[in-house]
Formats: sequence, C-alpha cells, structure tokens
Amino acid sequence: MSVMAKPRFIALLLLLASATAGAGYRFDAPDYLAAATAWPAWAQNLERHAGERETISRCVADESACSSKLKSLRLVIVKGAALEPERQLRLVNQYINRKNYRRDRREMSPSVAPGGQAELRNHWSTLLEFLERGGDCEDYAVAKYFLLRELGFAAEDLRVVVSYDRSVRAYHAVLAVRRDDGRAWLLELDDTIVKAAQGNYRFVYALNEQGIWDHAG
Amino acid sequence: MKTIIIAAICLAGGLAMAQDDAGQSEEVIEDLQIRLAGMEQIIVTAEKAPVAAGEDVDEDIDAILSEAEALEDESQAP
Repeated sequence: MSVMAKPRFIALLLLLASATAGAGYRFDAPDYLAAATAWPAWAQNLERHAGERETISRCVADESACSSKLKSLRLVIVKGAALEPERQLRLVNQYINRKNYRRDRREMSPSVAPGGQAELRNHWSTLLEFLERGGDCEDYAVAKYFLLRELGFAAEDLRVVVSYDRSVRAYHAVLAVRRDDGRAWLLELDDTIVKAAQGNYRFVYALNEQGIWDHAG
Repeated sequence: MKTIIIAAICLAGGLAMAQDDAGQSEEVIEDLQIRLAGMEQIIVTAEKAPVAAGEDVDEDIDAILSEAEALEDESQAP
C-alpha cells in the first residue's frame, strides 16, 4: 500500500468504527444466543409473571375483581387499548416511569454456570412486583415489556436491552420496540422515546420471553 | 462375510462420529454457560433521569395518567 493511501485507509476504518459504535438497536442483528429458559433468573421471572396474568386478566375483564392497587393498572390497559400504537407506547412509558425508583435489592439467584453457587445478583421483577415496590432501570424496562404485551404488542417486537452508557459510564436498561418500518424505538426513563441511533450506547445483551441475544459476543 | 465386515466398519464409523458430535455439543453448552454467566455479572446501575422537558403534551394520555394517579391515591388512603 502506498504512503498516500495508508492514512485514507485508516480514516476509512475509523469512520466505519464510529458509524457502528453509535448505531441504533437492531432487531435483525444475528446475535441470538439461547432460549429464554437458558437463564434461570429470567425464566423464573417469566414464570412468576405468567402466574400473575390470570389476576390481571380477571381484573381487566371485571373491575369488581380488582384489588384497589390494580385499579390504576386496569384503567391504563382498558383506556390504552383505544389508542394507536405510538400513543400506547407514550402512555406505557410515562405510566411506568412515574413509579418509585429504588436501587435493586440483591437476592440470591441460581447461577447459570453448571455447579455454580447461588450469588447475590440483580432481581428481575414482574409487572405487579414492580408496581408494588418500584425498582431500578431494568425493572422499569421489564414492566414496560409486560404492560405492552397486555396491550397486544408481540413478543418478537419487544426486547429488554442492557447497554453500556458511555456518557455516564454505567450499565443501563431500556425497552426496545420494533416498529412497522423495522426500526427500533427505545423507551427511556425520562419519558422520551428515542427513535434515532443512540450514539452513547453500546448494546450488550437483550431478553424477551422468546430468547436471549448476546450483542457483545 | 463381506457384508458383516462392511456392516462392522459402518457401525464403528458411526459410533466415532457420534462421540465426536457429543464432544462438540458439550463445548457449545459450555460456551453458552460462560457467555450467560458473563451477562449475569452485569449490574445495571444507571440512575433514573428526571422527566425531559419540552415533550409534546398529549391531553388524552395526561387525562389517563391523572385518573390512574387518583385511583392510586385512593388505594393508599387510610
């Protein structure tokens, strides 16, 4: 390679690297790792939520079947059903974001490693657990996931995405929603819905009830 | 006799391939466990951000949220 061409080649590499570093979340990235059941703590959360769905369904069908604490959730589901999808996203995002933020309680969770001991880890909350106790950012993302499922959004169009936020140097969780044009919108904790690439996020992994995606591999 | 020898060779070859596949499956499972273990070590710590200003007001959504908040206040009343 000639001396003149080398800097251009390096510049092209840097351009490509910067372009991909801030790219938006992609549902079609070939990063599928395993079924959701491969991660015990996540699978247990899905099971607990499945157990709660009957309570939620009975409440939605008949207000008299609702506990006092579920009446606001019922209202959001019933009135939210009449909105267009984009406004449903705004409603769910704002409704969940108003709940109490608290640092995750760490609890003993089984390890995914064979023969591994249970260790203190993040606790994944169900929708009702979150509404009762609040949580931190992955709990907000999971609660939005479950509530949008109640509103009819398909599991394959929703993922809880954990990313490394370079701007605050911390891991962050958001809910990604795949829209009709294939692009992913991110439901943030500050009520914004990000529709363009998030330059400061490096996506690490994602979950839904269908699988686990490893974006760092 | 020729048939028996050919059958024995095929059986031996099949067993060898099956053992090889089993070994590769164990490696795949181990790799998966390692990757998942790495993910579960990540502790999400980003703080909740204050509500962003300047968002378009949607009156219908605001009405639903206000009504939901009122129901929550009722449920918490002594």
